[in-house]
Formats: sequence, C-alpha cells, structure tokens
Amino acid sequence: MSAIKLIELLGMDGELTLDKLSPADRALVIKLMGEKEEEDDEVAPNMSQTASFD
Amino acid sequence: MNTSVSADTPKGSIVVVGPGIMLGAHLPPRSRNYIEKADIVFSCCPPIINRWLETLNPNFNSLLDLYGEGKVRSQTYQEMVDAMMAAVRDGLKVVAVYYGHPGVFAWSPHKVIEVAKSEGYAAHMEPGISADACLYADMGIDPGQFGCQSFEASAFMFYRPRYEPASYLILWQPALAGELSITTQHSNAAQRQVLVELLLEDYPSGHQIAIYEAPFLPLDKPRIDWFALEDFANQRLTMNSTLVIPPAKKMQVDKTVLEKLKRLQQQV
Repeated sequence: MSAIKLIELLGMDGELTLDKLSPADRALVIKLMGEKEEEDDEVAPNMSQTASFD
Repeated sequence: MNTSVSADTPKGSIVVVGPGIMLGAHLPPRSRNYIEKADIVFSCCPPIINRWLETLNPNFNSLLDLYGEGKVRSQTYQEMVDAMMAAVRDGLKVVAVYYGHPGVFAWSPHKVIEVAKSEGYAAHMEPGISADACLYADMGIDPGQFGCQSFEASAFMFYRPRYEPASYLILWQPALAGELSITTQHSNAAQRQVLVELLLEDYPSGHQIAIYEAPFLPLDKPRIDWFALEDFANQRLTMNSTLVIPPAKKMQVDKTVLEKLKRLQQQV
C-alpha cells in the first residue's frame, strides 16, 4: 500500500496507530510526513490569505 | 419518478466539495462518491491532500499553480472560476475540492456555482468539516451555550463590527491580523498589537485566550495554547491558527423583554 493510502487508512480508522503498522509501512508514513513539512514551505505566499479587501 | 432531462438542459455540471481538515478522516461518503465519479476534478487544497485526491480520481487538476507571488488574489480566484467553467461548458461532470468546508473563507467556490447556475448548469455545494467544527470538538465549546461570533481577524480590525464580550469570539487567520499587503503570510507584532488594543476595550489584559490549530494528519494532535490577551502579539502563529476568546462577562437577562413574553404567554 502506498504511503498516502496508509495515511488515509489511519484517518478513516480512528483506532489504528503508527505502532500497529509494520516497520516498512511505518517508515513510509514517516517519510511522507517529512515530505509534507517540506511542501508546506513551498506553498504560494498568498495562498491562504482571504478576503478582507479582495 | 421522472428522471428525464430536458433537451434544453446543458450537459455539464459542477459539485463543490470539501475534504475536511484531517486527511482521510473528514471526507463525507457522498462527497467522495462525487469525486470518484467526476469526469474531471479541480482542487484547491494543500499539496499532500492533492496527492491523496489524485488516488481517488486520476483526472485531477490542481488549482494551486494559479497562485503567484505578488499576484492579485482576486485575479487568481477569477482564473479558478474560469478554469472550472470551461470544463463545465465542455459538458463535463466537474467536481471542485476546496480544503475544509468549501464554502468557508473561499470566494471562488460560491462564485463558480453562481455562474454555472446563471448559465443553466446543474451546480451545488456539499458541506464539509471546517476548522471551527474541529475547534468545538477539541476545545469542548458549545457555541449555543453563550453564543459565538466569528470574524476574519483583519476584517474585525478594519470594520470594527459590534460584538458581545459575553459570547465566544473567534478570530480566523490571526497570523495575518492587520496585514495589508498580499506578499506575506504573517503580520508583525506591531500590527497584532493593534488588535490587542482593540480587544482591551472590552477584555481585561489578563483575560485568558487561546490559539487553536486543528490536526491535519491523523497522527497530529490539536494545538491549544492558552495565554493572556496582553501577550498575543508575540505568539507563534501559522496559517492554520485560530484565535479563541472566551466570554469575559455573564450574559444579562433583558427583564423588559422577558416580562413582555410572559404577558404574551398568559394571553394564550
């Protein structure tokens, strides 16, 4: 299963935790979480701004 | 049941949905179904959410590329509407995905529905889970208990709306409080201090307020940091932060109205 599908599974399950995953799956999830932090830094500077004077 | 479609009804359609806040956890089944069955999906969500949505439907287009440094946001939003409407006019079954609740703090989802309907296309929005829905759950706040007002933080400063300090006050996007430019994700401490000064007109300086951030990934925990109002300007804020200001006084019964209602009750 891909890392993103593992994250989806964790989100849908509610009781599944990282320590219940196999070591290989756990490594995939941790790697994706690291990539997410890098992506957060690359988001366009005005992406999240809304509204007041637009 | 008559399911026939008039020959005059244009073929294209658009449904706007939201994946909620937590990846994988908050997407309603009905919205997921719309995504999976769409001819084309447009998304205005964080990159990792987009990666997930692409697994649900490979006919996927991110709208994030329309943002640009220094680009006027209204232009970006209009280009989003134009891109989605082009697909609708091509007769496609279009689904647009906007992070959280698609109708909260977003202009283009409402606009594209308005435009599509005005041209005769089927168009509607599905509700999603927004940051305030998570906030009520994580912080144990019932907005019905004392009332709850919410404003975008900068709009609260610019327009000075009347509000009731006996109710909860929620200020969205406090990281941008007082920020007038479009080139940064953060206002500075001096700009935020202006917000503090406005709030000090109704709240004591030591009034305990909180920064809330909903968990984004299933392994994340909510951030709930309490501090005194006077210390707000130097708090660490992100684009996911929401400012929560609990009531500072008790609600007062309006005895005149109450007596009037009692008299009416006696007449029944």
